[in-house]
Amino acid sequence: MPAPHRLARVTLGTFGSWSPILKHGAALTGFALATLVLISPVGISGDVVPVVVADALVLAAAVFAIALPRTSLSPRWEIAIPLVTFVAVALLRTATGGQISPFGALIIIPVIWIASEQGVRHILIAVAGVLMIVALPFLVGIASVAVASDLVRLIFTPAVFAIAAVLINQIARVQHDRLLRVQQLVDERDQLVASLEQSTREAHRQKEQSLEANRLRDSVWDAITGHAIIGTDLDGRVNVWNRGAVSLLGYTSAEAIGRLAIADIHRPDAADETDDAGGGRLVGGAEATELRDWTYARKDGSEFPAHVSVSERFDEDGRSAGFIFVATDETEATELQRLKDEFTSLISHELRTPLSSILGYVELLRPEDEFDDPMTGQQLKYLDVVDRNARRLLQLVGDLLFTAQVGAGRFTIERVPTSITALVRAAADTAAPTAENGHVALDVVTPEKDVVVTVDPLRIGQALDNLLSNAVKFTPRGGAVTLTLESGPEETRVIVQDTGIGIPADELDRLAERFFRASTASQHAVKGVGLGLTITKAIATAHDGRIEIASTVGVGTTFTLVLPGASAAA
Amino acid sequence: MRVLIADDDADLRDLVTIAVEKAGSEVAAAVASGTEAWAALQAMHVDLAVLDISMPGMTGLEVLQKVRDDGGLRELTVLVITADGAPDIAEQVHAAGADGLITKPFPVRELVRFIRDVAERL
Repeated sequence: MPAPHRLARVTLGTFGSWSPILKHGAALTGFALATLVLISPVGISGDVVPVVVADALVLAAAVFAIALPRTSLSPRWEIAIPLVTFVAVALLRTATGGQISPFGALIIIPVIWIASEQGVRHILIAVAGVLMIVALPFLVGIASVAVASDLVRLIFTPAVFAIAAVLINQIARVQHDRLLRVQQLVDERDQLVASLEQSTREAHRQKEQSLEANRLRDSVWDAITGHAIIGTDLDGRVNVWNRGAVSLLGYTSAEAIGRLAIADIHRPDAADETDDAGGGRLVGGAEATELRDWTYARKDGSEFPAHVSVSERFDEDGRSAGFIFVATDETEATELQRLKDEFTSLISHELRTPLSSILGYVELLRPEDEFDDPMTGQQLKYLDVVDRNARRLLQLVGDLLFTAQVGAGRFTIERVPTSITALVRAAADTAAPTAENGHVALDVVTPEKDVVVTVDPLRIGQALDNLLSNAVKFTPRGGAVTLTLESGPEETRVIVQDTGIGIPADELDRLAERFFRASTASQHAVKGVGLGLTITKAIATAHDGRIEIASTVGVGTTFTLVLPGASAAA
Repeated sequence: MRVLIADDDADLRDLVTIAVEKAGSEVAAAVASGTEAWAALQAMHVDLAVLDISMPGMTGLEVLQKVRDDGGLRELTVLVITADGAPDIAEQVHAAGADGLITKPFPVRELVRFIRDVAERL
């Protein structure tokens, strides 16, 4: 709180703020002079006792004036000093001839002091003091109202002092008000200065923080050496270029910032596709964060495939300020993907060719009509085994190829309005022989009206076959599998419920993993490789649907294929 | 009807040969590479070419391309056989100008029926 200190400094020099002893200095000086005159050989005489008492009072007042600021007494007691001075003046004047005393002028000293105090009552006190001084000689009998001039003096002198007191009081008040106003202004100025200092500090701190944030951002960006981070303005001109960009693209920061446009980095034909050589539309197309695969050109003209994330940048007012491109070199990933695809294709081809021979020759072995050489029942049975196992291998190859395609993101579906009711019935028909052989009851529940949803019929059929064949496979003799079709307002659900061996709760989340098999499946020696659910889930996901699983070991499992979209059939 | 068979797998080549014979047609040549197939096509007259895609030297699709670009052979009926399971294989084969596509493994009956149909149209 610096304000009070400054206030004190400003008021220094005004009478009101003087110390009591300083104010009393006038009276001390006056009385010292009077005493000197009295003891000098000038020849003015007076009663010794009252003069000594008067001097003693003035001195006592001086002691009080010195002591007062050091005591706990209120500063208001200061008023006692001029009051005592009044008494001293009255005594001195009376003792030195009353009306004719040469020391009457001393009256002015306490009058100024008291009248300069704030408030009208001080005028009255001052006038009362003057009256007391003027009246004392009459009261003690050394003077009497002998002539009219005596009476006039008795009244006139206090009246003049009263006017003087009023003037002094007014001047003091005006001065006091002015002082207050000045103090107010000083306070306001101090507050202003303080708040200015505060905002300067705040601005400085914010600048520091902002610089710190920028330094942090720059060091983070530069620490990312595997990705090129490129910032541009709205016209596509580069204004951010991190170390990753330097190493991936070959341009130094100095060569890139302010000199390159984003279209210089994108392969020319990629930029041409946007019909905008400046790259404005190239960057303007990104409204939210967008992922794109692009070909990037290095400084030396060589090219590489880049996976690019494009985001809009905003300034502090929230206005669009440009774009941020985060590019990853996909050369290795692309090569790896190519090798994977090649491998999958090779495996698929190399397995299918011998399988084609096996199945083809098995087909040739079977007698076509009664003219062919007949085979024994046992020979035909063996042939069936060869055929069935060759087809199992073929199914496996197909599943492997399919999951590889899903993994590579090359799995597409062709949606057409399809009767889910018909697909459910077909799946039940496919599973019926196996269910019958395993003595598993197979029930189908469908709504009366045909349920038609826009899906890929081949893929959904495949998913239903997988779910149903699993349910039959994992349900022991005497159990039941129920296939229920439900058509809701927003979703279509196919529920496959079995009374099978169940799946432990902690394995449910892993069911759709490639080659994962539930522990119960292995324990019960149920055949399979663990691809069926991976495929089924991929098919559901491709349709924006999902697979829900609920299971209790020893009680059974319920798989639900949920497809978005209600039945279009009336 | 004279049929050219090209497949690098000997067993499958034989299987196709059997299918051709079952269909009542004559095997003009059965070769194991695309290069041999192209040489055979230029050396002799055939009515139908059954080409496997994946072959050493020249692939079945490359042979097909040459056939379609050749003035004398442009109208030759070509059946493509493949073990390729790529999702867009049918589009590729159709775009290359094949008259038919059979994916391995295939029922022999189906191949026999295709060959008979071609023979009937001739």
